[in-house]
Amino acid sequence: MPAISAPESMRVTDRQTGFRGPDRPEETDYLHCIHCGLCLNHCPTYRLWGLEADSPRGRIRQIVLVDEGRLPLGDSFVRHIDQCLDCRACETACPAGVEYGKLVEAARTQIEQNYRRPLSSRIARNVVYRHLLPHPRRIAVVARLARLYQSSGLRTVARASGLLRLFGLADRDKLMPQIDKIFFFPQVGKTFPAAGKRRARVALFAGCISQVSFVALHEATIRVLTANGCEVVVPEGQLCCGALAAHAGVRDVARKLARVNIDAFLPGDFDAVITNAAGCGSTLKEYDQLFSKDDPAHEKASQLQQRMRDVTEFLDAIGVTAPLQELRMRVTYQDSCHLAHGQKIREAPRRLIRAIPGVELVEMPWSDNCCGSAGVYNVTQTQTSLELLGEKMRYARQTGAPSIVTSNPGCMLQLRAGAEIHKTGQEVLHVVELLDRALKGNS
Amino acid sequence: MLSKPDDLLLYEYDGSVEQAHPDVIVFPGRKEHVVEIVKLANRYELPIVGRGAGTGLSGGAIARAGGVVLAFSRMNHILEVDSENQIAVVEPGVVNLDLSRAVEKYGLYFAPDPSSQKSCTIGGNVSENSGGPHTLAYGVTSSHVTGLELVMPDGKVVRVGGRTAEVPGYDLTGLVIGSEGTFALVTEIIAKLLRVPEDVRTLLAIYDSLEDATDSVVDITARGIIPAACEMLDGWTLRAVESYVHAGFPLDSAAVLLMEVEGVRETVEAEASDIVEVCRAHRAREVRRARDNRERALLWKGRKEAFGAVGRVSPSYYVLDGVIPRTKLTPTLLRIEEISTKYALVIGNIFHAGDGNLHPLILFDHRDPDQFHRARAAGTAIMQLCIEMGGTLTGEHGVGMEKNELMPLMFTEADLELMRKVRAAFNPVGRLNPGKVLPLGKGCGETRLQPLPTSVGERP
Amino acid sequence: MSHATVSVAERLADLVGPSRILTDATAITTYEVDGCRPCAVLLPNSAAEIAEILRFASAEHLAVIPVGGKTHLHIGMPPHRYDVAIDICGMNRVLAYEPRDLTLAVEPGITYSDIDRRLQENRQFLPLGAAGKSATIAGMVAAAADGPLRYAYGTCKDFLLGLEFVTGEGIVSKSGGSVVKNVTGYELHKLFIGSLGTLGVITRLNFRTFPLPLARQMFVISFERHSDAIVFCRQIVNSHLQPKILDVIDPGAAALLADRGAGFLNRQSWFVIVQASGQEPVLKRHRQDLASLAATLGAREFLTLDETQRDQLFACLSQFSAIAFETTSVAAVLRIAALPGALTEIVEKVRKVTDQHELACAALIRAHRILYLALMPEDARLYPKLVSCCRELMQLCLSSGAAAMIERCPAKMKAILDVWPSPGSEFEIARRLKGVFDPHSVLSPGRFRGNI
Repeated sequence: MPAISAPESMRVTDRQTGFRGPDRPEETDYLHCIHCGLCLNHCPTYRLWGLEADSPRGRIRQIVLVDEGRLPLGDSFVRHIDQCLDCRACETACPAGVEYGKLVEAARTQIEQNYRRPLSSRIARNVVYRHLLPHPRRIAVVARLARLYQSSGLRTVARASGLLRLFGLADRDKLMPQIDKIFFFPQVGKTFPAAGKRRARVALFAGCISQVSFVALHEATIRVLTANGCEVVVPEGQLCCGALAAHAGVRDVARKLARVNIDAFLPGDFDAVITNAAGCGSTLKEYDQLFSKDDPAHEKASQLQQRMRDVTEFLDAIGVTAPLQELRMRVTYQDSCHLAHGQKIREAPRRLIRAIPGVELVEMPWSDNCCGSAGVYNVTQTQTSLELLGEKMRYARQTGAPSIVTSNPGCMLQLRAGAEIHKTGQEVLHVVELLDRALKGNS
Repeated sequence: MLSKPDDLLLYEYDGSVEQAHPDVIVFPGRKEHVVEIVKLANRYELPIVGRGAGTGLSGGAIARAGGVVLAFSRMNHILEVDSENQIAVVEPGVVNLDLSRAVEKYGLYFAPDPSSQKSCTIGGNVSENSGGPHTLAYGVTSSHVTGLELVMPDGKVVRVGGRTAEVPGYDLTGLVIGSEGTFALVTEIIAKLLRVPEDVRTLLAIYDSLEDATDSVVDITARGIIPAACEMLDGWTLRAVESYVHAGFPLDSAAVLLMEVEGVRETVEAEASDIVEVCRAHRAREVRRARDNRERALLWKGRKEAFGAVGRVSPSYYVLDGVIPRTKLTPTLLRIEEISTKYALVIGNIFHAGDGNLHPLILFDHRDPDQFHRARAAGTAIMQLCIEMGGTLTGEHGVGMEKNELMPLMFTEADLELMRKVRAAFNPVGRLNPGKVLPLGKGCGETRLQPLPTSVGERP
Repeated sequence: MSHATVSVAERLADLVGPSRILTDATAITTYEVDGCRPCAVLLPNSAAEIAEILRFASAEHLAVIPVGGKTHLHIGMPPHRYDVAIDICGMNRVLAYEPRDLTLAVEPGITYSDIDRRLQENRQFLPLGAAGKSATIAGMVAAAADGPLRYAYGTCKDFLLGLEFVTGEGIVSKSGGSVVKNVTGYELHKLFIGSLGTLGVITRLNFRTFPLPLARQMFVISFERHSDAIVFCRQIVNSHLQPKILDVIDPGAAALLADRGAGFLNRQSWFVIVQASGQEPVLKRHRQDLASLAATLGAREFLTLDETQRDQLFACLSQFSAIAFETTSVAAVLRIAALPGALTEIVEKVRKVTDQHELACAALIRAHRILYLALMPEDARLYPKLVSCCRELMQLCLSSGAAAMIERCPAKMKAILDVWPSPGSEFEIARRLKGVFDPHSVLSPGRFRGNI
């Protein structure tokens, strides 16, 4: 992207700007916005509320205004930036190539550094981003507690008694990830051999929450990869990718995690580093943005990015060679935001789905509009998240497809909740889980 | 409703280079709200401005004199689709492309396709009488809207036109369409839908000379063909676009013609062949046909996102909207080059070759006030040039607050006075969208412009 | 009747010179509008002269009606007053014609046929139908004349680019421009379309022209029943075919037109007239598809016309209204704008009413939307039935949601029946606009909807 730079005399001075400290929205980035407004109708929050301030153009304008000192970095700014899903659908719509995701994350970092949130919020954010997600063992502990709640009678009682509804937690409860009985952590460090001739040697990115509640997805991923001639290594020392932290503006944590992950994946000299979570993949492919050019990690991050692949992207590229049984299924596909908008991958998952004999793919209107999951958005902005989910399920139901296929655990979680809340009776699975079924021949 | 300063800042702008500060923004959900708001505004003597998605390019949605901005983003429902009679009744906030998507299943669509159709609203299209590449064959918005419901500046609700093609009496619908929100607020639109044609051919003809391209356009018409769209991009713009879109635009040509013919299969095949023949006869280096929908979409993406692509290489640009007789393109472009040199600014060109509507893109850096002024001056020079060539100030974007002071270049004082009176018939106190279309007050030095003689030697 | 005195006539003569004023009774008769006769007819040569005339008329409270080829003067209510006619036929030049730009500028009095001839030299045309020999362009625009090509090309509002005119007060002004695409300023010229000379006298018209297609072919398909004919049209509309003309005529109209040169129309059928244009493969496709659609619906006959027949029928269709009106001394023609989906029902309801009144009628459905219904009682004694039939039809249309007006009828009928539908919520604006263009009510007072 050609850099637009201004002569020294015209740069925004520190005296004016409302941004303080490093990691701020860069003028060279926001100058690309020509305020044409083509992004508006693609932004989930604008479509919901019709407010300029909750549109990408409006959010960029607010960033500019804060930088120019015309708008304080205060409640209004924070609220509108918080309400952004960071789905980056606007990037797809934008003719001028504005890197909106980069801008809003920088804005969030500024907020994290310069804005004082209410105490409870600060505590929660601190706990989750600094003390929980970067620590697999602690995740395991919390998960076990959650599982206790879920599998013992507690949850059923809480639901049935109306207690949850009383506290306004009923829907939040449905959005809670279902914790698996057995976690994935023991698999870290293992190598899974390729079936037949080895075509590639890949590393699997295992993630954080996925390890406790999407174990089946990981297992399916490994099966599909090995069946297609890939040796799958799950490197030790890997941690949470840091996406949630980066999206929340807790950039220093994201940076720390990035360094660890770079060191965990780069040395292996893998043909590819694979993730089945579009949300993680997007961040992993942008690790270099976390480091300044003079930091050696920047170069290493670039190298890692070159190997980084979403599982659908990878399988589509090497071609599925394992025989696929016929599945008589009618499915629809939800484009995960961070795959379609973040990584610009739309056709690969569709080609994979269509490659399975007997599967009929029905397109969903607005399939690339966010389902409302958006990382922890369904926790921080539950109301909005559920509104978006409602609209999403309406379109999903219209397709008449009993199965919804997608490419991100976050989406799966949200859509499953949606199917339950709106009683559409649809199952939700990952592209790779669908392929896994085709390997076995289940119908 | 929004009235805090932080909120109001977000409504100072639209898609143009204009800015002004409103006093309050309101979001009516229904026609009744609009009536109440208008009545309230009257009581407090506040100006009223309608706003759709704010993608306009002449400052139409900008509250030049402050006041109340009515944002119609929440009146965005398609009220009715009558597929048998090919009619849709919509609220003003419905997005243009969404309307076409919604009626796709009946094999219908809404023909006016401005480049901003992903976000722009039908209400905005009505106010500006929007065009788009495909209006060459099908006509601008006024050919596709048969009736309106209006809220007058005094709060009265009036219906003009209707569902049928013709209503006896003065064509008030035709008058209100294109009145840029200065006559009444539109709360309901009866839109005419067309049938999606059976087939389409998209062609890209590449030239080493602009003149050859223009000559081709004229000859195509001489063969009895009215293309559904006929767009021209100059070499500079092509390079800017190609680096982003990768539509296969050539990087070393003087101009390309992007054309489309639609209709019955036999028609498009015959017409496409004819077009290729004509282009070759006029020394087109190459004529490509889009082989499938994907290629077609890519070519159009290149055209529709050209403005934005320019945004990648410049902090700001000023897009103009003059019209000239299409045979005057070559001399006009030469003069534009002179203007570009004179004001030391880069100017790219996108041209609706079929109807002579020119979009010069003047690049500048808005952070430098001097560049901004030069850009404006260059813009004015180009608009004057268009009129000199026998053309007009604006083909699609409207006059708004961007060109209102230039109206005297095209219209005499008597003409403008008549327009003022017509506006007053709707908007007696001038409360609705003040400061748009017509020049502000007499006595201002800038407005003492005389209508320019046209090249035909007659007064325009 | 005229209220002007002889001295006024003298002063008028001063404005245009003695050779261009008519005061002789026999000469003036032809300028009658609904039985009203002016006291003088002026033949100006320029907008400046027209402006002077109107300034004078404003000052003297005279009533003026601009007159062209006199082919559409019957439309509208009788004028409240009529002192002076301005005959614009002397202003009949082509002012500018740029075939390569597809633009044409003409003076108001040029006939449509002269324009057509000129455009044909460059293989272009203006899609207004083949009006009668004397029909002037300004008159056609002021009467919102349409033609069979309306189906594909629309009406005046779709190709009139701009106008110059003189207002009722004598102010020379203009609207629009002379290029094909333009949104500069308010589109006042749209108001003039169909305005019957109540807003101003048009002094220049700018049009967009169209290239003539390489070839064209007209087909005539006959059906026994109206419902089949209309269904046939609906199927064409819902198909991908793109005809340029889609008109339907009933047996009455067929008989009428057969007498006027379209002898190939046998008299007991409903006829659908379709014209396709383009190169041979396109014509062939239309021919084939239409033939198979026609067969499915049990059409009686499928005719492909030759050039001569086509031209004859085209002229007849263009002038249907005028032709029908001239059949008897007490004929009336209604123009009813309906929605395609409602056509069958409206045709049936209308039929019932005309049958009840035992009136011979002829119907033309233009472009699958506008129904021209001619009532042609054989002799003058049936006049009361005509009146009552018209009244009932207007009422019927009102309640069916169709927009109707009585386009032509005997002048005496206008004393008891309003030819216009009563105005709606928009009337106040219309009234005010009339006041803007013609504050002293000089121009065609009383002829327009709402008695303006």
